[in-house]
Amino acid sequence: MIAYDSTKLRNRAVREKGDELLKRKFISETQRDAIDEKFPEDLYSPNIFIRIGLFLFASFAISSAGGFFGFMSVLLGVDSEAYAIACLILGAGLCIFAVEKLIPDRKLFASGIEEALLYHAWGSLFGGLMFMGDQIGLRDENMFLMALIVITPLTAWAAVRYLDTILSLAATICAFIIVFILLKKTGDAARYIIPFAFMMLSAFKYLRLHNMRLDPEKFYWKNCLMVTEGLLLLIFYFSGNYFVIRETAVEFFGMDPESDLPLGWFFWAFTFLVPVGYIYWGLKKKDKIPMWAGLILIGVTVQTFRHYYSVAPPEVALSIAGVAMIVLAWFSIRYFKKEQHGITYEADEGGDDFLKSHAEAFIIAQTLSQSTVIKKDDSIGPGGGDFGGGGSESKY
Amino acid sequence: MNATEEIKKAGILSEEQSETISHFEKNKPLSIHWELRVILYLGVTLLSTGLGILVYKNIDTIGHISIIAAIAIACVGCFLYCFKNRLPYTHTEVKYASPFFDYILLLGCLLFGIFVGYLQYQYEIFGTRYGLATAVPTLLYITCAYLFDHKGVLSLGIMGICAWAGISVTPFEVLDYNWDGEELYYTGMVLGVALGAFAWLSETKKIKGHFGFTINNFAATVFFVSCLSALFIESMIWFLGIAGAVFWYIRYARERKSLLFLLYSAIYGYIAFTYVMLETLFSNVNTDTEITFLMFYFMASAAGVIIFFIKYKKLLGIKDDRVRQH
Repeated sequence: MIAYDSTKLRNRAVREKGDELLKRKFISETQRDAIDEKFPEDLYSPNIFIRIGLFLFASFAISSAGGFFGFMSVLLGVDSEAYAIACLILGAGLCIFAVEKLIPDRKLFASGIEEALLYHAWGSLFGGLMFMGDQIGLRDENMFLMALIVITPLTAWAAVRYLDTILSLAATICAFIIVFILLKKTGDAARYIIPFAFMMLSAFKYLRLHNMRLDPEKFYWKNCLMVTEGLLLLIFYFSGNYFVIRETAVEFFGMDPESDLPLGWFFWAFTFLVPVGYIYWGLKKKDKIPMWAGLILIGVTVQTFRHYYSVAPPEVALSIAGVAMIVLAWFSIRYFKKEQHGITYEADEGGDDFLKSHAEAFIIAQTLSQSTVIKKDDSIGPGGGDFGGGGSESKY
Repeated sequence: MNATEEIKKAGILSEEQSETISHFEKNKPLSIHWELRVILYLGVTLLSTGLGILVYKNIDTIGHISIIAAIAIACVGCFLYCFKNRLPYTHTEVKYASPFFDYILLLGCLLFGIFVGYLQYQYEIFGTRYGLATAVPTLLYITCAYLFDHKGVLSLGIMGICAWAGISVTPFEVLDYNWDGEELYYTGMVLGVALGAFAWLSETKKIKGHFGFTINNFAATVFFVSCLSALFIESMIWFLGIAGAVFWYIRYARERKSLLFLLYSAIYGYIAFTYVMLETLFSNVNTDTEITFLMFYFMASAAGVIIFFIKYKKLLGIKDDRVRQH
């Protein structure tokens, strides 16, 4: 079912565990080396930067190849749409074939190359399907729907087979879009059904996936499941968020923008309670995913509220929010300095601090430098204009 | 599959170890260290942005003097705290236990920047010497970065240097780089080389060597972008500049096991190389055969880079994979 050698994947996980145990000083280096010997693996899983590089250049190569092929076809005078559709779909097939060959041949795992091939296959297939829909005579929504219905199960299959997180997300999103379009077709009653249908679906799927993640046999899909769980939590929230419901009603169901939303009170309550609920749940179950979802969604909730009721001008709101967060962080850090209820402020040494601390410096430079760089005009710099420093006053 | 169980089954752990590890894993606390840091950072950002806008909008009501005074007081307050609680300077990395220290330092520096900017904007205290206006806060940032070992403030300082030199550099802005004035890219190249040299000195003499990565990040970006601009706009000769930097950073990547710079070299080097190809071999592409060759070039070269990435370990002679790579 999985495209990769499962023994090697298991061994890889064991070796990572060995490294972690060494880092936490539970075992000696000799023991770690013994682990490596007992659980060999030789997958090619490059560093994140190499992975990005490989992904970029592989994408470039695939696109060039595709372009080349298209160009040759045009040169040879081929003109039909059917041909183009066939090429797109076959192209997708070719990419999959390539992935299937490369993975065992080159022992790839999360190398950037499979991802490039998979996503190009997806794009090519989707394009082909849409084009085909257009040719058959389906219009707009139906064309989209047809393409989605075909591609979603394939995406899900690929996500499972190749353990790919992006495809997992894509499959989930496509599935929900299909549900939305289909429900919308049921007519006017749809707008009452959709929010609750989405809520039930996302909740149900979340619980199912979460239980899967707890199953140790399914550890291969840990990342896919984690990421999809996060997405489902977000979908659950957004299926009841006041702003979303209201604006969709206006946009898709022709509700009068001035009128009140029926059951408005319910959606407001939902919008406020869900993020808080997530955080509490996350802390209780010691699961970071609901925690993070909750934190982000609190911001969204505040924005939703401010969209309809302006309580304070933005700068005041920002300042208050800023102070609130600093205070919250300060108290939390002091409270959790010593472990409380199984939660601590202390950093987890098993984690990768290097990238994080550099990421922090990078983000600081990005977001805060705007306030310190004084806007230049032509008179700045050794290149020209007055320039103060060292007492020199000469023009350049 | 439980990794720890597998290790136990393989008989590698002693009884004692097995017990300790099980106990640890069952009772391991959840660490919200980074989450709280993020909240703290967001708080500082939101507050400073909010205050900035608030001040800007209410300038007339509040009055300049009071605002300047308030900012100055807060700024001095932050620095007093930092000086009082600072750890002594060493050439190696100094870590502060409390994250508040880092953020108060950051806040103090930002306030100083706002203070100077405000003076300049409102009172033109530096006249038309914009360079000086940028240099003053920058000097503070760099000093603080070294005194208090803060990479974030160091980044602000380096950006100040770049601004001072007339280039606004943030990696995101690389994408919509303004071809604004010819001397800019010469300045950029000199700046890039200077920063790179300084980083090299820091790392070899081990004076705050851990700053090297941050400094080189800027150095590489500034140099590559400036040199590419010179290549595009001025003359082909700058390809040599790019080639030089590529070699330098591949060597750096190899020594420091820092593959990010390998990626930089590959991307910028590829762009430069392709450009030269387009301008020389493929400058007059008209016939279909020529277009075909051009497309072949793209496919082949992309494949070449991919092979390079795959074989880089062999090519660069990197043996030990155990060391945490970045």
